[in-house]
Amino acid sequence: MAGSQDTVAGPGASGGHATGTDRRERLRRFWKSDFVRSSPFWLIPFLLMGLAVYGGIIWNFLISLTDYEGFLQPPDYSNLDFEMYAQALADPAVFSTGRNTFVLLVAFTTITLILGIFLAILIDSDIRQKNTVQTIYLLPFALSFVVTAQFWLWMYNFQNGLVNTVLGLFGLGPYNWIGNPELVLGAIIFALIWQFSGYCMVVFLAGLQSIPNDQFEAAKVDGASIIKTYWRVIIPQLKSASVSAAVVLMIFALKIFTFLYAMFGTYRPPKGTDVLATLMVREAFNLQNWAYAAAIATILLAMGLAVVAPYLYYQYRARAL
Amino acid sequence: MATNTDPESRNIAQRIDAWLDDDMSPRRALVVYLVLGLYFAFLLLPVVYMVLVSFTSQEFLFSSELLPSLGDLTLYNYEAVLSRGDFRTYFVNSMIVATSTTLLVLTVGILAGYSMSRFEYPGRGALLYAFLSTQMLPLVLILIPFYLLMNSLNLVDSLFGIIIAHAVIGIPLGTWLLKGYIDDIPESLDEAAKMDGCSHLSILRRVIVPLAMPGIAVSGFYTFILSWNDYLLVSMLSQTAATRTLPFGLQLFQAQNTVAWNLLIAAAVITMAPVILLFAVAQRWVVEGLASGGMKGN
Repeated sequence: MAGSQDTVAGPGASGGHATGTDRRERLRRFWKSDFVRSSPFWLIPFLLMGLAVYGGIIWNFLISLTDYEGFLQPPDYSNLDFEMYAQALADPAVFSTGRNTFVLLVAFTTITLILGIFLAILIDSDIRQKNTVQTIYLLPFALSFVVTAQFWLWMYNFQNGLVNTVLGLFGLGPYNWIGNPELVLGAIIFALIWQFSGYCMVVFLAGLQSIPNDQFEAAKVDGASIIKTYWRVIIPQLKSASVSAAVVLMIFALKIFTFLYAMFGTYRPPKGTDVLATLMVREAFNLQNWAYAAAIATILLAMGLAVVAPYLYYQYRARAL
Repeated sequence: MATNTDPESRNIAQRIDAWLDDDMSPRRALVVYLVLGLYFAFLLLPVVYMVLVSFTSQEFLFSSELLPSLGDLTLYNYEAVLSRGDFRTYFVNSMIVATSTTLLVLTVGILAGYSMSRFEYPGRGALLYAFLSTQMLPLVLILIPFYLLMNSLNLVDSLFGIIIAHAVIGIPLGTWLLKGYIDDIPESLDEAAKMDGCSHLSILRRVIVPLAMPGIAVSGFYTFILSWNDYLLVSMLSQTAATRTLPFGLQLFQAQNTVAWNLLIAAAVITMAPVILLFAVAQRWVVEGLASGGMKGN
């Protein structure tokens, strides 16, 4: 829109009496532009989205500045301050959940990426029936967190779970995977790797398959070894696949809430795996500390933005969209 | 290692390399298949084991045996789960919500995707960004305002409210995917249709929708699964048993201190069955879409 206004502004500014027709002309052009003509197709969903998501984020921030709590009388916006943030930063629960969120984010993303790229290279170099293989790898990805949480809860069952039974065959354990606060975060990360490594692998495989065969052959003719070929020639070309896979995985790690929520029941704090999101929902929907919960949500938003913003900027620079 | 003539003079990296380089080595193929096979087992074992366990009795679950014998198998768990009226209600609710959400998202997504693909207007890129970014933030961020909004619209505790909530979450990804597929349809086709006097809507109906069918299948699949699997929004918006969906069905078998594991696992298998079924139907397109980033053939 900015462009068309610039061109019209020139003659409009030169003569005062022409402004009326110019405005009419501008209006006419505006009405006939693709922007307006296409608006029936997208305007309503965009407004809905904008209100719900962006409006929601702003509203959430506003609520975090009030002292809103208790049952559903509307929040009082007359007295805004950052008291809730001061309270949150001094709260050891916020600190420990923030640390858990961070550990989960980093450990889960790194391990899944490495596993994904390793498996993709193996498959790309050897297996021919790619389609059948790929789809089965994607299956855990499609399953609900609620279902997989129950599965893993049973798999990790202290006395009868498959994990301890299998470890028992090797003379190890039994370990109290869920009850022990020191083990539970690792157990959760393992379950998440199970669910998302297949997806990660498929993304890398798609990247690998778009690299033409000549490059492998050229490297071979030049006498480069296989490991060097992958390390120096092939993996650098997977940069955009790696970045998008990493971002998607981090987004899932930030959305881990549902998994924990389903695993540990509605409002019980999960010992050792309490993350910012579970803390926030407990504060909001259990204790009705709406303003405090909104402040925690804003901290979570900051973490999310720290992950997403550089990626979006990178994509924007690369004109990938 | 068989190709290695002088193992002492080479370091480990070189040895691995020589071995990797030997394309025909059966030992190498064996190792690759072994690694992939193990990973395969790692992925499938939990699912297969759970399905197996869902057919056994509570006694077997708490015995120390690893695998059930043929005599242990029973349909009792499924009978017990499906005979509960509330579980059946949740199932029907889930079907209604997921199907309506999918239809709504596809309708909106096709229109919006078409407009983004075929119209040039300033600010289009920014709109796309705004759309895509919403996918990347955790949903809990907007939970409180969303709840207050739904509450003021009187949409709390109604299936319609849940459908709207799921649609708001599903529309960005759906539009994004569909735009990609519509981009791949040559614009000359709709030019030709325009020559024949088609309006935008009839171009959509006659040209775009039939050609974008794989994309529609993929977006529909993602949306259905998103809605079917959602727990967070439903837990917030649903207050009574009449509007609960299937993920809540699992809670029916968990009491404060006792969990009916055999029933819970059977319920979990029932919950994931439609997803696996859809997955089997849509898998060809899903993989194709992921692999090529757009439409192929047709």
